[in-house]
Amino acid sequence: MPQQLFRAYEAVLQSLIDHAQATAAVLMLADSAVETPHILTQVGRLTSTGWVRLIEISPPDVFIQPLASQGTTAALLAVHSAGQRQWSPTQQCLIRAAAQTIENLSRDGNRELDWHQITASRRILPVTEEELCRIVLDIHDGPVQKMYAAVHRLSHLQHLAERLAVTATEDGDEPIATYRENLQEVGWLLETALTEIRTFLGTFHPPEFKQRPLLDILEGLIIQHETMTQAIVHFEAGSTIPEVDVPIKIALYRIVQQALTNGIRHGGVNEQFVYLWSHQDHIHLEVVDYGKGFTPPSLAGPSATERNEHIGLRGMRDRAQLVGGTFDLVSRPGEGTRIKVRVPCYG
Amino acid sequence: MVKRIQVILADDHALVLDGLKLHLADTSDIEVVATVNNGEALLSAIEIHRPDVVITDLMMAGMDGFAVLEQIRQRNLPVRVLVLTALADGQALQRVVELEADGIVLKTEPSRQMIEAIRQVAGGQVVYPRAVHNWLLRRASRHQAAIDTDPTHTLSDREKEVLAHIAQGKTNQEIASTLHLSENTVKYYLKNVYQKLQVHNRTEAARIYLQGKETES
Repeated sequence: MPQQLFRAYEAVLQSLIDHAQATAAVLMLADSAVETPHILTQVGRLTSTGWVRLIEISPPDVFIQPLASQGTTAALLAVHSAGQRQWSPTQQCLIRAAAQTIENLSRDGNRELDWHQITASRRILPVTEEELCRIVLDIHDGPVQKMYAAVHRLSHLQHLAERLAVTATEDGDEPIATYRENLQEVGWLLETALTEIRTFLGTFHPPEFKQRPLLDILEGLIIQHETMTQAIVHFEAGSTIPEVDVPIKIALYRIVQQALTNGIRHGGVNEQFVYLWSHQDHIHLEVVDYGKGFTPPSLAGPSATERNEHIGLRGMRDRAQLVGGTFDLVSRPGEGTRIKVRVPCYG
Repeated sequence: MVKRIQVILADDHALVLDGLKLHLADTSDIEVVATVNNGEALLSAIEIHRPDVVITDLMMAGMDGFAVLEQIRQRNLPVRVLVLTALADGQALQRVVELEADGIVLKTEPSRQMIEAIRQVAGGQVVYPRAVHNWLLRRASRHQAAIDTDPTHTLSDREKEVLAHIAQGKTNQEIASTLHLSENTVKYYLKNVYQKLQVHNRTEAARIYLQGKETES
């Protein structure tokens, strides 16, 4: 499909998301023989499973609008709005207008419509980052502040105890000394806990995706991972990594974060390898370890895993697919694990 | 009596300061000359006490550790800076390195490591966590690879333009008129070019430029 047409569809979808206040919109161009609207309403069984699973679709969250071309269904426009109960007449109108625009573009543009998914769901990735920020702040503002206050109070109690010690020497030093020791103990425990929480939280603080280049952001992630886990990460990046859109940066960052964590947690290794290079408008990423390996569950098609323990794997797959990329996991027991991702430079 | 290493402590948690002071009091070679709890106070204290090393946290109200570090470098204050922080997030660590701290110690590390770090930093060494060192090594080798591929890699577009004209044998006056700049501006660009390429004259600069062109083809 020509780049221009692709971008035109994307612009329409993005505009639809903004005006209809949706979370995501997907345009699925169908071979007219393959899919029909009534199958799509079962949602969850169609090939764009990555997108579908991520938002755990079941109507009324999703509005399906078929697009026609020469009397048959040529494509389906699926719009998702998280938490939506009913689609207002205005929203429905906007969706139908978007569908009409896309139909017109298709007519005037390329005749070749092969099975393809165009997703405009930029909102999801930045929204997730925002939510992460909020969670981090909540934890920071809540327990951390309380513990800080407790530490201060203890400090005060400690001074009190000093004063009491001066005036109560007739009873002997024993009780006061013990009291003081205990106080000190508690103070240091809290202080250590506080430090640990702040260190831990720090690693969840999302980097400035907008301003910093992809390479810098991934380097930061690796520094953080090595510091927290004492693992060694061998990172090799191609000499020219182009500028990429923010959703791509976020996707790659979160995928690498998950992959590195999985390697330590399940692979039983303390040495990991990350490779990053660009080729023909795509960014390639591989995260490898030579650890335990495992038999990967199915991540594509109708038998794709839904199990809770695979939520990390699904997350990586979804993030790659959301930005129009591919995700592959190669592993065998005893033969290590290799995660392979390919994403377009321009989301 | 050997002169002790004079340090100033900066942290907005009183307990942290107390703890640090206690640990340092046990050493015979380190002396705490002042403690402060914010960035502005730290800068004043540096002016007053002229310490050898400042040990500072990053998170402080008002002027934070990053801003203080920036000020210290901008004003060229002759003091070594050891950052003692709970932040292990990559971006913060990268920023601290870019602001040219002399050392970084994480608060989760045992205290004797911090004391060792103070001695090393006072002695002129740079003390960073291993992960940061690995990053710097990777960055350096990438930079070297880029230079090997293109020796003019660090030049701005304008500087490259001026260099291209130099390589053609043009005089500063000719370059100025071609690029519609004043001769002084051309000289300014040239100065930067020489500095970045680490050369002293236009012949050497031209040679590097032409070398690069050869590698290209």
